[in-house]
Amino acid sequence: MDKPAIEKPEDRAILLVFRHAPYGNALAREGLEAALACGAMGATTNVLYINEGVWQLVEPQDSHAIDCKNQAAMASALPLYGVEAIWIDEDSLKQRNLTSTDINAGKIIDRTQVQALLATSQAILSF
Amino acid sequence: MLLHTVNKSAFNSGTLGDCLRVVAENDAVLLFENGVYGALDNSHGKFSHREHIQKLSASGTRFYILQADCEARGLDASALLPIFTMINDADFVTLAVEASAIQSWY
Amino acid sequence: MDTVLTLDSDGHLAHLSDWSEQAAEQLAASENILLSDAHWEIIYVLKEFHQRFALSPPMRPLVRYVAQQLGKEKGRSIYLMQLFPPSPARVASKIAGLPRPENCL
Repeated sequence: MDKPAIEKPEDRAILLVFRHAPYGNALAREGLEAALACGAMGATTNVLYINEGVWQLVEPQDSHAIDCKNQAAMASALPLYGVEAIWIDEDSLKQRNLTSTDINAGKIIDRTQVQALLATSQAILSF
Repeated sequence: MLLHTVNKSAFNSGTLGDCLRVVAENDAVLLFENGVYGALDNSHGKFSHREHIQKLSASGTRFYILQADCEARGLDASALLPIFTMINDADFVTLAVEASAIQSWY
Repeated sequence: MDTVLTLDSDGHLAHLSDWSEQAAEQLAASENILLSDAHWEIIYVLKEFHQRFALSPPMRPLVRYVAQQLGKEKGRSIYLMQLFPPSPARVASKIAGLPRPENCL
């Protein structure tokens, strides 16, 4: 009997694009939960922080008084969930006067690399 | 080919600009819902993306706009940048199928 | 003497602040588990995970985190399975007073 063809995980790389600031609405939180779920299920997962999404990376965050889960704390669990490919758009940082010292994780990439990441992803979920 | 969709008006959102900044030459851009206002030919100043769109178009990026959303908002084709191709829902589906992935800017 | 614990629909503590070692023993008993030092070690690692990441870990991240904190011998699903059958992530987080893990497989 023929073995069923099994797709390699890397053939199905999912890209989650985080474009919104944390806390103002549920998007950032839901995006993060989606990324954690993808990772926990063993899907090859890339995360891109771009535009307002880069605010999610600023530390320290203390969301206690607004009664929300700490997004930065949750995001720092991504590698434990198997999501190690975390990318940050350089221009979005520059526009907001943020530098690598303001953010908590990830690798900063330029516009060309962002384009390549988008072009090579099998599915993109935008939050 | 990546399909980028934009559904926010260029007059109160930076979404179209954010999209255009990372669009590649093989990609397609579709404006729909309030995104269709971004295709107006006669907008000015910071709201105008005319030059950026023209430059991308010259390098191969395709630009589409959803006809039903234009009609609903009273936007006549003559008011839009001629670079935009009017498409219907079926064309939208075809584009989506043709694309390697869809990035929705909202 | 058991105290009455307020539980959610999944049988997890409704309020993390209600957790105590006695509550843990009670929750463990409801899963037919008698807690040993080996159990407590994992329970405290789980509580630390929740404190640090604001999350209840499903299996894979739990295994990784236990490996980081307590070493590779303990960071194995078979080890956790023996301590907290039949579903270590769910059972151990229940005993540790955490909400049920989201994305629990």
